[in-house]
Amino acid sequence: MSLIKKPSELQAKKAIAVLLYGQPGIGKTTLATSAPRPVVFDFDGGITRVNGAHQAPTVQITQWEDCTAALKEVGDDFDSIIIDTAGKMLSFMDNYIKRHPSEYPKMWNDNTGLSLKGYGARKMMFINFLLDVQKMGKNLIFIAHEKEEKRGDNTIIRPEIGGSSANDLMKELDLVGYMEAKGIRRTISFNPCESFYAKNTCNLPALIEIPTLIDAQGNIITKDPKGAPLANNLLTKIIQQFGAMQNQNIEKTAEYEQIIAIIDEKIGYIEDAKTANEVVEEITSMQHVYNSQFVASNKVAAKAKQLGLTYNKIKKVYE
Amino acid sequence: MNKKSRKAVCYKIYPSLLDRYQKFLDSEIEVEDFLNLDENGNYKKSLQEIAAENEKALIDAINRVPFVSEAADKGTAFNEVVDAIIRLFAVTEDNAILDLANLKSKNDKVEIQGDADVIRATINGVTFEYDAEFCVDYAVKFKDALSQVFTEATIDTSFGDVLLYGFIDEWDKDKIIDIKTTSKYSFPKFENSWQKSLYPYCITANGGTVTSFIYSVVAWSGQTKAKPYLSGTVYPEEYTYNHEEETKKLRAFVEDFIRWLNTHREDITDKKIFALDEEPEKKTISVGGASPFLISPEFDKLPHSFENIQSVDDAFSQLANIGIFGINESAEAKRAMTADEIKANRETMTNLIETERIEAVKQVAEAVAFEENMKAEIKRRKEEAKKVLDEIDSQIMELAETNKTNEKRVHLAANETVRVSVSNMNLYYHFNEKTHTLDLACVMHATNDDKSSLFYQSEMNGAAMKKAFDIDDLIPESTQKIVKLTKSNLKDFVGCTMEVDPVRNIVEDFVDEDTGAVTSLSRSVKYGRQVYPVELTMDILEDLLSSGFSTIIIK
Repeated sequence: MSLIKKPSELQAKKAIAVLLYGQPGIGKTTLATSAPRPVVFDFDGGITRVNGAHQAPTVQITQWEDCTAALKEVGDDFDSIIIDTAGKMLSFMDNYIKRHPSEYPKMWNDNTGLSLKGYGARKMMFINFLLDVQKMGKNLIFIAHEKEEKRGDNTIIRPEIGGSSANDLMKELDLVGYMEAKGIRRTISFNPCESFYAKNTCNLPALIEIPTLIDAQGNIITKDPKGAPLANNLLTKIIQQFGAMQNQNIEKTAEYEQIIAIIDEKIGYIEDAKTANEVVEEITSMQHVYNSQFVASNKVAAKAKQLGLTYNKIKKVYE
Repeated sequence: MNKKSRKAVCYKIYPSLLDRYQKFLDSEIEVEDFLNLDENGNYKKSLQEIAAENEKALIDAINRVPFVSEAADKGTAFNEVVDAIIRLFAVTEDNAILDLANLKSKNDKVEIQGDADVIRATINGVTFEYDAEFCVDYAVKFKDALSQVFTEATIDTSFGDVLLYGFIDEWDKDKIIDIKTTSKYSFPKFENSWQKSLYPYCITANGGTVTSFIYSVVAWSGQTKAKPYLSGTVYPEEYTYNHEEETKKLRAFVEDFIRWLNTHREDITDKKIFALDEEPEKKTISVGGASPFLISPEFDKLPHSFENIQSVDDAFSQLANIGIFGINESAEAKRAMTADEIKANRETMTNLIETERIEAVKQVAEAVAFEENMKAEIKRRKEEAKKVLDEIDSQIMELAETNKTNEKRVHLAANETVRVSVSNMNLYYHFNEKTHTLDLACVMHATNDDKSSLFYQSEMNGAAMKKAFDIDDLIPESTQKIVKLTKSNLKDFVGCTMEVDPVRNIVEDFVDEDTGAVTSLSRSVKYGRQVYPVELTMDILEDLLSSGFSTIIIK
């Protein structure tokens, strides 16, 4: 079996990379722990603020070495690794570089912090961490605080992730969700808008309401207003939808490839204006997927050019 | 992709212009950018300066003013390299090695040469060397995509239908990809770019499906000895596309841009943006079962369909009844003839203008010559008169001396006048009994070239006899002079004689209908409403002034 695969032969991505960001206290860590079989890498002590009912196994990071050591322990017991928070994780990397001058010479200055070279080294540490987790096939859930940026009279909300590492993280993410409170309702949006960035690669609804799991008295709510069972599993559902969407995409891509193959076969029959017009008619009447009709149009035009045929725009036929 | 037939549009806009306009709107943000701060924290450029620069860049982009940018060239060349690799993939057998020596550019401005290590692309005389492996790795992601797809669609706005158009870099299934290059990347660099709205809008409006738009950003890395050729890190910046929401945003922004455009029409020389580059839409007229005929828009008012048509001949006959002849085969000829007529008219107009111009130039030359002649004549007369006066003076002095010294002195009785002839003058002496002075009445005779006599008379007191006369007091500057009319001085010239038809210069812009080039033509026009010479009345003077003939020659 060939190692080179067509898009439709690709395996659906087993793990997903998600970034959740939003206001302090809105429930980012709680929502993150709703991922399948989570382990929290707690860089900023956020897990202690989560209601005990929703807490998950946690690694309380005191130095970067704890993180690398814990990664080796994750094994098969967990499906999702939660990084709480991404910005704080970078600070631990800074500290590691500071404490290892022989490994990272001239990369730290006590007065100014990381040197330019130091930022480069941290960037590589971050990229390597992402690669290591990807290799493990675990879902990776990043949590970030929000920060506000002024754009003229408007305020734009951004995830707080240090420096150019944001660039490296963003390109790896499958979903980016912004959490906000509207009155007593809490919502998460994966659709971007003027005031915040988000990423929705699996056709999620524009706005998803985050279920209230604890009442005003601090009691756990186990049923929704309609009486249906309530659990902290929203992110699990979202990840499931992502998986389903991936499978759907693969199926649709297979259908696309099939249509393109049929189109190629039909184009092979074109010998003159008559057969070209027949093929155009057949292709037009086909059920198309994605941009297959436009791909077909290009291919027919190329073949016609090769045969010296011209297209009569008025009669809409090849001559 | 195929163009769908579309309605007439009022504006034509491509996404880079919207991005330029966005940059202009964001001038305030640019001022605050750290790049605009000096070491003391002061702004290097003020908001007004940055806004003016951004606005000029926008106007230049609309007017398609060429500009040179190595960074832009580096990106354009890279884009062409990627497209060339994609084309090479298409003609290379599966599993065969890609021979980069076969890379060919489709862009006339870019030359490409490749080998296994490096791909060299030359643009505007500068050659960029791209790392071959990096380029192939980058391009392979788009090998099944449609490259450089032209797309267009109209969007309805409060200003009418607007045509949005442009070239999509890569269209892969349900994703549109735009290739970007930069020396420095920070997320999200293209958040305010309008390509991510406009291109998916066009595709969707043409029946396609787009779920997201990806800016595939190459951030160039530094070149080292180990990696001597251009390569970089790729950052995909993906935006989910929601047709309904993006259409609303796009429409609002396009309308805002058009408001700005309409206040800057005088700055815009490339009229394509105002959709003024298209011929008027040709209408078709359907006549029963006969073929549709192309006709000119001016036939709009005529009925477009006819009943009970038995044959094509019958159709022509009915058309002839309403004044349309020879529509069938001669439809093209009719348009051609119209074009010829326009050409002929233009030639006639040009000839007329040229004739008028030559005539006007001639008149101006005549006026100038006349003025010169007049000056020379005045000078000659002044000199002649001066000579005469000197002679008078000398003779009077001589006479006075004679009267004083010899017996031939003239005795004048009280109030008696004696005539003394001196040269061509008669001097009349008169003894004034009251004042006991000898008064002199002097009459000078002089003739000009046309032999008409000019008389200047002055009473002189005997006490002033020895003084030289100021000739300028005696003879006016000129009998004809050029005057400037103003509202306030018109009455001064009532009664004066205007002998020459006044002339004024006008400058007109003529637009070449084929090329759109504007030529300014200066020509002179005559007043030409009177038979000359004419005595000026207030009515004529007011008419002259209101017609723009403010300089006239009067006598």
